[in-house]
Amino acid sequence: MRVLVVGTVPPPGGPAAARLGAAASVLAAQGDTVEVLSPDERSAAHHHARLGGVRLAAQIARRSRRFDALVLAIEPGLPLGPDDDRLTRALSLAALDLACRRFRRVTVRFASPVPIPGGVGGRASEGLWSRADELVVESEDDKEQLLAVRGCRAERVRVEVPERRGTGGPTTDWSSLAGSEGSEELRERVQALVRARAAQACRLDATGRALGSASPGQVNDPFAGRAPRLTGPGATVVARVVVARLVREVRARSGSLRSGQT
Amino acid sequence: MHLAFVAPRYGPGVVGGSEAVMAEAARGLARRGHDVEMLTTCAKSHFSWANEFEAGVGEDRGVTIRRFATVPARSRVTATRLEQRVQRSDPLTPAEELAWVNGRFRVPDLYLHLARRAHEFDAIVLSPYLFWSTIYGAQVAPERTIVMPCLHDEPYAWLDVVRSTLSSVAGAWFLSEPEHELAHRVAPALAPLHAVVGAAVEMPTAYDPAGFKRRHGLTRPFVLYAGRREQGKGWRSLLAGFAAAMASHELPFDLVTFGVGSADVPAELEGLVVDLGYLDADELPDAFAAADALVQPSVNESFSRTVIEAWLAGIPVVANAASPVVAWHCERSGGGLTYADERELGECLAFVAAAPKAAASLAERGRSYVLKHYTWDVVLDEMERSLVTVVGSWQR
Repeated sequence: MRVLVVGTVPPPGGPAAARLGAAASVLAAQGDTVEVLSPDERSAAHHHARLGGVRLAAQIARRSRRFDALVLAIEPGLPLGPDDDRLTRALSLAALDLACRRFRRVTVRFASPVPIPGGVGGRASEGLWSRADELVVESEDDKEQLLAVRGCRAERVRVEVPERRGTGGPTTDWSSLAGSEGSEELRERVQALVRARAAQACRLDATGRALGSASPGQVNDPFAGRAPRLTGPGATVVARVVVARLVREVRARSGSLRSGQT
Repeated sequence: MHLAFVAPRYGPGVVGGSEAVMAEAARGLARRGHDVEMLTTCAKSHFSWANEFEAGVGEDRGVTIRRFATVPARSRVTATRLEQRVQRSDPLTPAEELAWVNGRFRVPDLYLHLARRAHEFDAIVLSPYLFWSTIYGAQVAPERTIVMPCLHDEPYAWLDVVRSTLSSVAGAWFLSEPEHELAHRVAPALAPLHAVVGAAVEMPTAYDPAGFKRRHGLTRPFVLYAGRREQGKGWRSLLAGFAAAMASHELPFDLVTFGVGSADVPAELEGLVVDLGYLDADELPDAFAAADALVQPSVNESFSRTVIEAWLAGIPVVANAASPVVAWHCERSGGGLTYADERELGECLAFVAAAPKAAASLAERGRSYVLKHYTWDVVLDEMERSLVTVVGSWQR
């Protein structure tokens, strides 16, 4: 199978990039033809492109003819950043849904906590999640969020908990820097550790919230107060996109009925 | 060469990056034998623009200083309304843009002086981009004018009057590559003779961190914020981030700050934030050397002198990743860390506390970077090269 993997892979990357890189390697080792499209120009990907917002859908759609399957990583900034508004969110996810339909098989891998402003719910995204063949999340908490989306089936959601320190996984301990003070890559190593530890703290916070130990929307929650409600001009644009899509589908069906096809 | 430097403020008590670069560049070029005049206003505060210095002629370290009185805006109400519209990025008509430029302060005497004597100067250097003195001064003798804009990606930068200023003069000096790239986006027909000249800070002869701590009663390790305590410089976001970091990590640090503007420390941070107020220039190197790290929360930087001063003093830098310029410095030097949110800020500070050897190693890279690119010898060489090109172009 020809597989397009979309997301950040090393170098330099952090633990999430390492996991996506490993997933791509496994596919290649199985005999699939794998190509990686990454937003980070420094990474060892086959292709690099800006992938924020609707660009992601455009880039995927452009390459869809050459691939049978898609592995898509939902990461911070890919396709949405914490400052993206509702309109951008709705358009990006609706466009992504359309682009993903061009593949025979779609796997979506989510960073944790799921980096979608306003969460995974909402009409703009439910088609995307419910049609995917496999959804890979990093925690039971993230799985619960996805299962709350209409049409999202439990048998398609797989939890892949990242390896913890001491079990061969990436370490987030400052002591791992000992002896590397003089190295050229010191800054990159420290920066990667900072990001990994911050992400870990973020996951712990999310777990704490799920257990009721803290209230949602605390100072560190980048998506706090961003409800996924869509109203005003954003709703109009999305409605137009959806209506145009429906009209195209109805026309296509009526055409195939006229020609005797089912 | 006979050079005119035109800056909105100059003198003791004046805090600001572009003002400092203009002052030090003028004095540096004077030391190299050029005849340099600093044309400036009588203002000290960039909020009130009140005339606090006396108008007239003076001399400071080889530079002739000519001060001119500012004239306040005719209507504060109009000025405030226009300012709000600019901040919202509402489109302004050309007349409204000029009214906005006139709304802070005007220095008609400086303009008339420059108009009368422009032909005597080989080059006129104006900075920064958003003030009356630059916008109007650039129109006097554009063929021999260089603008050092100190550009940030902020609503002011996208005004037509700024684009036309950057396009109409002979040359432009940029302090960093990201600023240069921004200028091309702001003004596609950018001044043809532009150059990235960089900037520098005065090299201290010695540091006395222990003496600084003793003089100011600082007994705990601290991270430093230096500069204007204003929302536009990220001060409030730093307070929020520091509070979050202290809540989630066992950090040994206080946050020490000096500069202008009210620190407005919230009650929850009392005892953890130390405001030293305004410090004399000769105290600054010791303040940097005494800190464990500098935190730079500002997004609006065209160069960031405090980052350079921190590295020179041998401390690491923790900076807001949203500032293209500071992130560029950090990556290029390998001497600083960037944070994208409060959690990452907390982790950066935790790193400084937990791995002092690695943090010192980062700082060392930062210092090497400054010594290679940002000493006044290097920067003045670049400025002189650019001046020769500009003067050659109008003399042809």
